[in-house]
Amino acid sequence: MKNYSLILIGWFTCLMAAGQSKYEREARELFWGASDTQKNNVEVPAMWSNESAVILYKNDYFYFQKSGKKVKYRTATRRRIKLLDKVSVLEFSEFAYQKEFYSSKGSPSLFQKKGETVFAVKIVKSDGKEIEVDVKKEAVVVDGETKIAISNLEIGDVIDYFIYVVEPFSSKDAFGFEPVETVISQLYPIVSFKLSLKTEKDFFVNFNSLNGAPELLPVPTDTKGVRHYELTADTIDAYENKNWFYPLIELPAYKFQVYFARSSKYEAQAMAFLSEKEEIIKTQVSQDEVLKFYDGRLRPFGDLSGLRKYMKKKDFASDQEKVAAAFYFVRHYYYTRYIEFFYFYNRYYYEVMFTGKRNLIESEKDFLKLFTVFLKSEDIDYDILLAKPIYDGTLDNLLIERNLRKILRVNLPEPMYIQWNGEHTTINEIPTVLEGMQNYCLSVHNYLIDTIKKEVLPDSKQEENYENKNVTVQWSKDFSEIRFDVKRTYLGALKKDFQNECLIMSDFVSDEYIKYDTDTLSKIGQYKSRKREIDVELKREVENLKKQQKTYLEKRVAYELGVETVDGYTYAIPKTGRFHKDSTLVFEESFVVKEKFIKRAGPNYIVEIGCFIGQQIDFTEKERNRKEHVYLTSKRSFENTISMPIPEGYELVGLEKLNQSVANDIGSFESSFRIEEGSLLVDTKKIYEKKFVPNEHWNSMLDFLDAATEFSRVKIMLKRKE
Amino acid sequence: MNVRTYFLCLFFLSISVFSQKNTTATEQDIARAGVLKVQYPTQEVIVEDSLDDVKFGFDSETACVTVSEKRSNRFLSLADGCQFQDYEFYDAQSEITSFKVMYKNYKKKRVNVGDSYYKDEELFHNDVRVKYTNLYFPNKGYQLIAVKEIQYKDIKYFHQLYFNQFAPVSHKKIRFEIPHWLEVELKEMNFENQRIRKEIQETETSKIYTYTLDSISEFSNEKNVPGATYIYPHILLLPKAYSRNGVRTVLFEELDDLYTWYRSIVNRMDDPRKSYVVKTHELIANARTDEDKIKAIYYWVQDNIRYIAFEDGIAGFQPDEASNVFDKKYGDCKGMANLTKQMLKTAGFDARLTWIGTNRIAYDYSTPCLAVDNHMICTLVRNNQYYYLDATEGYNAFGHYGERIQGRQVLIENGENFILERVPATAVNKNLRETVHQLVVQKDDLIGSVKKKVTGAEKTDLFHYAEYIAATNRQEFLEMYLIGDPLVSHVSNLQYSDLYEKEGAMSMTADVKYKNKVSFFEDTFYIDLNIEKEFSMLELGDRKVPYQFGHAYVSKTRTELSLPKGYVPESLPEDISVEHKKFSFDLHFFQTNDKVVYECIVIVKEGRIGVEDFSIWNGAVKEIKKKYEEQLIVRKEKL
Repeated sequence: MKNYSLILIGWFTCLMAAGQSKYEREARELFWGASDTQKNNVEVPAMWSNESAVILYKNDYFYFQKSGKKVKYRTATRRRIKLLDKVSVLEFSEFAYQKEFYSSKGSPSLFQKKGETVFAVKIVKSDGKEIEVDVKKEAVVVDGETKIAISNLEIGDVIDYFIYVVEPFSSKDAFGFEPVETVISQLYPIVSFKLSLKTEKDFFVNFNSLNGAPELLPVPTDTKGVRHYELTADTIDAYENKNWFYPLIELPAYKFQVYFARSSKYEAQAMAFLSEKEEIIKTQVSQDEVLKFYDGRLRPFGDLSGLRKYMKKKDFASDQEKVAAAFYFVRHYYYTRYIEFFYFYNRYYYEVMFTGKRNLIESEKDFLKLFTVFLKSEDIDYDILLAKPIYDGTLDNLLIERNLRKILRVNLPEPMYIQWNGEHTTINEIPTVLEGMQNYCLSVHNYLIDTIKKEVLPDSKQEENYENKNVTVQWSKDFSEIRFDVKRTYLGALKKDFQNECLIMSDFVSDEYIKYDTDTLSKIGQYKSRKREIDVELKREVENLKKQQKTYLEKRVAYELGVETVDGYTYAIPKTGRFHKDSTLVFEESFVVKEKFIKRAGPNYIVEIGCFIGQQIDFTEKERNRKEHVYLTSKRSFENTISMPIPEGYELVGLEKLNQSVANDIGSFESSFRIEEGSLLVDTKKIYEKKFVPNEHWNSMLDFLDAATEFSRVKIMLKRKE
Repeated sequence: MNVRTYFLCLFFLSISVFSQKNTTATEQDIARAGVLKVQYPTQEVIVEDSLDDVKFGFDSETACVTVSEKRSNRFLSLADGCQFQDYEFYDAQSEITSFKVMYKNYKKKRVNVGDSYYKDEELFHNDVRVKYTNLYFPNKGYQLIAVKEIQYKDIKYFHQLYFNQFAPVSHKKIRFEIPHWLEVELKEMNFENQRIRKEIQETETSKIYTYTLDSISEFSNEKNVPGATYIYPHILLLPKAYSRNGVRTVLFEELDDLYTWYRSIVNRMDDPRKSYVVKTHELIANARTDEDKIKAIYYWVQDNIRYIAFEDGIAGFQPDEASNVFDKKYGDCKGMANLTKQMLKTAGFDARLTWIGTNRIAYDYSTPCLAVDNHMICTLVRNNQYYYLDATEGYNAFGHYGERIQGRQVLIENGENFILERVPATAVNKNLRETVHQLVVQKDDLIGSVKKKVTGAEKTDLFHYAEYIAATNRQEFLEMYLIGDPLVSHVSNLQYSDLYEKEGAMSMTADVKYKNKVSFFEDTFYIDLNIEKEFSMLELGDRKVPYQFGHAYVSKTRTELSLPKGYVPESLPEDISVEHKKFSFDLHFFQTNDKVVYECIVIVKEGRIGVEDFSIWNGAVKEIKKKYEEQLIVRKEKL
């Protein structure tokens, strides 16, 4: 009888347990189990009683587990939030997730297990009653997505939920998990925050707390082979996104990366600065470690037969000229001539993957390894510079390898800097986020990277980053329309911005085919038989791109002038400035604006001439009371020359307002006018002298920016002559 | 390989080559595409021929009349290398049994047909899915034929067929083959001013109606467009009855039949729990009058039940039990109407479920079918009057009705019968936005105070926007609502009446500075008194479909400018007045003592401006824009 009872009890237990998966039970125990210290947490600090919601508790959880080459990666977030208004009730009324999925990490496997997402939610009513939502009953599943509307949620409730994701995959080789780089604060203020990190053998952790964030501390654990760490923080104000601000270098934050490497063989493969032993959390990377890491990883390598063929029988006046010619050819031959392929990636997938992309530069590293083959063959000395972008902090808190950008410096009498960043890479144009930053310099001797030292990258001046705009305006006879002819000349960072935002492939690819006498896509080997089809598709693609480009440029100029639309828009880009740092990009556009910028005043007209320089940045009261430092993308200047023929029968009144000057260490705005050959000419110049403006100088910055804004509101009168 | 095999291979190869050749565009195809491109310059692909062939059957198992629709479209590309996505929706009541694509020679073209869930932004979950395929046209004049077969399980759910599609159609035929055992009315909607040809053929077994129309433009993708049933020609199918084996079964012959069907769905509800009862009594415990009780319940449902709609199968017609809605604190319009009804009944009032078609739908109950309504509210019957309670309109006061239900017919449950009534329309002046400025000149700016009052739909609109603004940003939001762009205007000391107070007006006051409104040249001020410039951006251009406002309203602006000491107006801008049956503009300047007063009254009398009124509307907007640009000229007084 006893045996039968035991069997029955066992059977019932199994039945009960069958209602929940193993991971559901695991998640519940982890977040809502006996050790849950938050179960009675419902109070909101008085200082946050006017918020839309307050996060009473947030727990981000990571657990890295393995068995041989099989990895089980668990991530979770638990939040316990008090909802104080309708906005937050609506925000947390619906959830959606993939209950089951296949991981895309690691190596594909026929026997790959599905990942699982566990979601659970309960509500604590204002009378203290706790109600768990029956997710299984209330959710709907459509096309693999599970959605749930949360029942019985009201203002004043606390919603407590967790999303627990278990992601199994296999990785024979070293595998780096996506780095986590985040500030601790959120959109809503947080009463209490915990980051939990658990790892097993063969997982290497790099971790750092930044800007005063608490440290990650070890937590004793009974589970053999598991290391457990936590970071806790309390009373965290809400974070609001701001202009000209880099949160990761100002606000309490943390960064970490975990790497899976089963043995020293795989550790050597890892593209990360690993600690000596996985038991040690790596918090910083020394100069020597950087040197050791890159030796062997950036050795010259690649097939340069295309370049050799091009350079054959060419004479160059200097090594400078030779390196420049070689670089621009490499940019074309190993990158831009593949741009057409990218548009047909889906249609011609296999050809592009297995044949078309031969020798394609896909990263800074690819470029470095390939181009240094050339430099070595020409016996030209070079260094490899490593720097972090300004928004990532200094070299002192280097932790994650991929945050280091690589720049090639060719050591000629005039050094040449090349930082690979795609089709518009130009010699000596260092991205502004790297300018002025401290860098490591790796010197190479006999194929070995054998010395390292710290330096500082050059920084550009404001006169090297400019937009120079010539605006000629012409009124119609009845003043109902104004025609604009605009010529813009760009250099430096502003040229780069325009290239990246506005150029399309047809603006430069065809010219390069002609310049370098290379074949277009439809003439290459396996595509010849489909030449007509490909030519038609390419033509079509270019037409579409041109339409999009035109629409974009129209909206851009309309926004600049503060108008809804412009009419009769035409444009041309006669110079792209892609072959020399000092080569300008020229962009010309013409259009008409109707019934704007002029108001009738009896027999006279008031012309909003200041508007012609474009809308200027202005600030709300809140923004004027800024407490943070200011980080601009570059030092730069904006020049305008407006030319307006004086209409016959009218004279100009109020021109004195066009003379302005405000200047200080942070920047300046100046304007003046002249009359020449029957036209009014107005010149303005705005200069940002600094890239970084400490908060104590914010008002100085406001001074010259306000002057520019004031100018944009200047009006003059066209007075009818008697 | 022997000779026979060799020649067989050659034979099949030549067929294949021949077949491929017959798929390409001929010179005539290209020429035809060139001509059509002139007619449709912005289009890349058109439908040259389209046929909707509708037949009816009967499913004995379900005892339902079924509908089979075969839709064939022959696409023609007007340019090289075009793409077009063809798609078809279906739901729990229908099935796409076939989705084929063929070359112009009717040889099958292998395509991938995707099948996805369709996410409707207004619904949490529905049963609508879509099958789709991407068609590629390598060159101009290329043709592809897409044929879809759709089965409707029950004729009740097959509503209408349009001539328009999402590409222009050169030639469209809609054909109904109606068997003699089926009684169906084909109601012709928006056929006026359309050259639709109709043929009727009679066979032994059926009557065939064929409608043909040429040169049909595509569905408009303009914003603020009235519902499609108002503007596009289509055929509304009204299933009346069918006869099988000598027995006549009525479908929706009269409105009674529609009501009976609705009632049968509603009667499936069973709600023994009544979990809302305690709350109801709590809400009305301190109410002194019946009206207070009604408001307490109605407002509670509005404020505490979230709109989350599950429209999945029968859930699209059957209201959720009141206890479910109460417990979950969410529901759709049917669930919220039902909860309102049950709570009012618990409080002792006569409350009824009520079906209604909003102003998105052109039909009324004279055409009884499931397409005639799309919403449910609750009707309170009291003192021989009807009060319509729509809890989905979160901020409407008792006795006020949302624009979308005003003037609409309602079908009120009344036991085995029904009551047909109409929601009264609100007088346009109940939707008022009134702004009063008192300003003085300070250098280039106008500074002073502003008072704004909003009522009716103007108020509820503001509340709806504010609903999505977090508490910490609400002040900023209201400041922007009051004065527009905070970068060209500045506001301080904002005070406002209760946000979300349903009854009465909402009012705001603040101190303001409007930057750059004043110019000063040679002892003369030039002042831009038109702060709001209403409608200046609303020229309707070459739009081909009516423009739908959210609601009719009145906007009144009064600006009082205290003149600088020693200055007088040189002259006042002339008044303008535009009067139309659907709108009016009145701008008026006058002087009182040391003030110049500017008044502007704009009335949108109806929610819709028809295409026939565009030229007058555009003319009025042009005139008013010009007037807005006129400066008030104030010069130094000559002594």
